[in-house]
Amino acid sequence: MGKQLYYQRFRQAQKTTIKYLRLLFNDHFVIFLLIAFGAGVLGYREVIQRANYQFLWHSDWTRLLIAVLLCFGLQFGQLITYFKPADRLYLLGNDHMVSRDYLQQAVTVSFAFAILWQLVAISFILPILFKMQLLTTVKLASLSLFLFSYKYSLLLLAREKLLMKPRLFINGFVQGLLRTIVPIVIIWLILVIGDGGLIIFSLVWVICVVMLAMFLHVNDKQSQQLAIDWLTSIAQAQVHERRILHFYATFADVPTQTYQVKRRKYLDYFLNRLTKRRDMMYSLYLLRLARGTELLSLILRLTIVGGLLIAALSTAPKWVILSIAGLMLYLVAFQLLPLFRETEQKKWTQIMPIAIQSRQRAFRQLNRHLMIMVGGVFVLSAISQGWLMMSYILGVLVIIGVALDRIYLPKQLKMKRKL
Amino acid sequence: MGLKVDNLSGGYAGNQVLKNVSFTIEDGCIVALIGLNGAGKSTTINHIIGELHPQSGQITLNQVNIVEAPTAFKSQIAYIPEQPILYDELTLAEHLHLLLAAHGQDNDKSWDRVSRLLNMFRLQDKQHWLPIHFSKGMRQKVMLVSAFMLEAPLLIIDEPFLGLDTLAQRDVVTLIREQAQLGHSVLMTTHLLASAAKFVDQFVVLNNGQVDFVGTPSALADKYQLSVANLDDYFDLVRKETGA
Repeated sequence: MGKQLYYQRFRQAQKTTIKYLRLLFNDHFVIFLLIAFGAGVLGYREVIQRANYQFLWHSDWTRLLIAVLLCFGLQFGQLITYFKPADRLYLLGNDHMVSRDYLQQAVTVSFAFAILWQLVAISFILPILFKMQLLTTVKLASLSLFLFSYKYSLLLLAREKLLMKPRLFINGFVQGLLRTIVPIVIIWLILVIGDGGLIIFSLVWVICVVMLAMFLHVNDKQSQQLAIDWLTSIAQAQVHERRILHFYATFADVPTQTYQVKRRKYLDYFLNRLTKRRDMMYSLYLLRLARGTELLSLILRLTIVGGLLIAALSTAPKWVILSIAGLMLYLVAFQLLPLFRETEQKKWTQIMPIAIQSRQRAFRQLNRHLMIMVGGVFVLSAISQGWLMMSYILGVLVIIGVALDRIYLPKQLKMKRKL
Repeated sequence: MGLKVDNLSGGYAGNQVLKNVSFTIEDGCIVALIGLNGAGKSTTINHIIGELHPQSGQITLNQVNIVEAPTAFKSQIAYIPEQPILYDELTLAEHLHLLLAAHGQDNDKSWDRVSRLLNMFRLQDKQHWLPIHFSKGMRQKVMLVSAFMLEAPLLIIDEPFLGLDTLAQRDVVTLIREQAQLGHSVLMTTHLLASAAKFVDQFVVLNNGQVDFVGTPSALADKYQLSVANLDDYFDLVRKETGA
């Protein structure tokens, strides 16, 4: 039953993924993907080919950078359990089935996804390895073997954390080390050690991983003694689901996105000042934006990514930089829209005697303020490219900002209200 | 036999809620856990259903220890939470089939019993509905059918009457009594003391995470010089006593 249930949920999740991907590829994502991928490839090719970056290929720091990049890749591909809140009730008394079959399938499927991520990470650093003349078969095989097996071990440990009494207890500090410093050091060693030493190292490593896998294997007898920590397990699954939804929500209007709140007391000082003598609805939108977990971080991420791209693509054609600035500003305005819809759906909003026009006006005002801040960051990001480039970006952002405020938003707000 | 909670201390991470809680529920007994908000009722239940790990003490059900054999322990439990929990994607019938399978019960053999419960709660024609179409009361009824159909050795009900109409409340009492007659133990929480006193064998009173009183409804009424019919005034007396 455990395996079947997992695969049933896995299939259901794939259907949902396809649905979201369809939404994504019908939306801004294609434009973003084209521009971001194009810009990324352009920048990467520039670094690899340009003569003034030659010093990188002889530096020890580059080895460390590769280790950090691959360690970053290891952070992708979490344990996917598909647990649901109702499981704590309907699977109560089935801990043996869940720990023996269901979670084993979860590890297998998660590992398959994790391998894809690791392959992407390895492909990314291949040109650098080639430039550094480190691209030998043994090194590449050892590196791949280490990344795959290390990820598998991390998944086994993640599964262990879902048990009421983990057989291998690892505190938060050690977990942090295992996710960061330890893999960085080992990858660095793999890059430094010669081919002969690497073969011995890989053999020892494989033995260690096999021993760990055997120790954490759940057999029939053990499964009877293992209890699932349902609260932790369900919370873990929900965090994972939310992360995926965040990704889709960056580029498309995802209907089932959950809304969560964080107090963020440290923002109180600014919020008090910003909401003073402001329209009541403006204050409401601002407070909801500041305390919602999704939107604020999403907009911050977009601003940071946009700023970094503008700063990094100093030698790219002007149109690429201006397109990125414009697209990012548009995405910020687009991302803010659910805030209006969710606020409209609240009973409190509905019973408040405030005309819809006033509510829309307040929302547009907040959006304007946000666009000015984000636009300011984008303009400043181009500081190394000179005043002319900064004024080009400013000009484009003003035109797009006005179009968004006067045409796009009023139209969208009317539609959102009807939803 | 039955449920034995022995010197249980526990709570959530870094927060001890229960302090040396002890009580037993014999087979065929109905016990109500009572106390003001924050007294530790839900925490006690969360420990018994294995969602929290005891900091100290033992919980055994028919001599099966929850820490040593969690699966064997939990497979003897049917649980109705205070707030209905349902899968958005499953119909009513699919929920019931899933739960029967999870408890290793034969679907065909059990279905007569399930049909009787569905009829009793007027859900027979709603078997193919998704939870999104259920009212609050109907969701609670699905929880009740799910738990009663299992005929588990220990039935745990957190606030059994919440959101139910009077007919359904009466049916729940009948079903609880039937469970007890079958020799199964029942643990419930409630704030409606006078109503519960009519069918409960014992009250376990919790106050600040400690057991204040264990005894029959009439013993509790006597202790506070109340009649059983006026037991709902008990909390007023406690509030006056503690100044809460």
